[in-house]
Amino acid sequence: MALRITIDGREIRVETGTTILEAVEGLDIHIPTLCYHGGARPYRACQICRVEIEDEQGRRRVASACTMPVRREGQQVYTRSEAVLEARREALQSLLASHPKVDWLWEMAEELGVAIPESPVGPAPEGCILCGLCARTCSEVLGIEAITYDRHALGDGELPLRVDPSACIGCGACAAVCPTGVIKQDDRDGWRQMEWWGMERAEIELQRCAGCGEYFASPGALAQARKRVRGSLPMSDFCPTCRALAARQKLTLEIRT
Amino acid sequence: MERTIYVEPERCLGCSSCELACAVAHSQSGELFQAIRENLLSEPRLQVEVVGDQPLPLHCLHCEDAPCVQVCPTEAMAKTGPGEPVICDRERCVGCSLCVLACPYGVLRLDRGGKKVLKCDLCIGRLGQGLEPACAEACPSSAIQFLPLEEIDQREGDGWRKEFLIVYRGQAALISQAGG
Repeated sequence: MALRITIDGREIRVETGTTILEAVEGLDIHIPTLCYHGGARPYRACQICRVEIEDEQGRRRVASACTMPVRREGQQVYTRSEAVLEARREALQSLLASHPKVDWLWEMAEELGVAIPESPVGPAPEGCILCGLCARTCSEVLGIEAITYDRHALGDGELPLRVDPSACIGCGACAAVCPTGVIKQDDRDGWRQMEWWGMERAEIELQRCAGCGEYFASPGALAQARKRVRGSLPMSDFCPTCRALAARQKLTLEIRT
Repeated sequence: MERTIYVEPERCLGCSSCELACAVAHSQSGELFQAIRENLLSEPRLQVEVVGDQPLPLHCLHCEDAPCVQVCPTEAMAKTGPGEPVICDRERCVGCSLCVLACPYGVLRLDRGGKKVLKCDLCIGRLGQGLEPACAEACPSSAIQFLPLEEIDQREGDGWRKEFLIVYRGQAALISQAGG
């Protein structure tokens, strides 16, 4: 069912259950996000994407745009109100206090006019803000469960993120989605080196191309691709360039003859 | 009239004009002189590689039963219907590279930062505006052309490029829709 809602005074039509963040997609309304990724389940860990919504009685309250669905005809949403900016400043301030070395947070702070915390507490060399996007991607999206998130550990003051380096398939998705860039992937001399939060490491031996002999893939990721595809994967022992050239080789041979 | 991308490898000079045009067409601004100053430098969705001494533009073939769509864990990679191109929703891509490993034609790559896959979208935005795909428009030697199917049929008959044309032909339905 389609509903009409108003965001910052603009009336739009969206399907029931669409989140506010999804609703502004394609509009020139910007809601900042940190731990959100279109490919993983939203989680409202960072509290940056705060917006204000109005209920039936006209009462306003602050909510996270990534998880808050649109449910009511005529709902009012504000993305730039003072209460919203204040909520985002608060979220940023607490993130900055515990993670002063994350550049992205400083850029954001400047944009929102957040006062710089006087005495940043707790050196966080790892730069991780505990949003858990890596764990959601590894465990829920890919089903590998090399990185998992244990909420209860937070209460005990421990790092809630756990990594099992031996389970890592070296696909690199955690490094690709990490918003603060604290998960690193580096291919060197035939080995893929994964490093999580400067603490945990894995080395995965890469497979050579059956054609040119270059290292091109981690065997675990290749096995995932083979498992997910219907039927077989032709040429999957070859690197992308050799595959492309083999497919065209026929063309050029024909040209010559 | 239905039109599709048609490659004549023997005409390719290896000048990479198609790569440049592709990168510009997929930049934020769509303009070369602004694109080179953008924070995230745009990258081409096709590559020119050399086979023997013959340079060749390597395009996505928009397979009908595409392996990249099958292996994608987030459904970022999708084909909306028969004859339509395979499009990657960059918002959903988690950079796991399974599609890169699955593509039988080896035309997918991760971007420079390793964050998202680079994927030809057949310039559907440009087609909607009545323009040709950027690579075809930019090619100075007409190695890449955007031709009516009938003309391709006349040129090729049952010739040796048929195998590739069958795949290319899969794109035609969408082009006829976008072009009206």
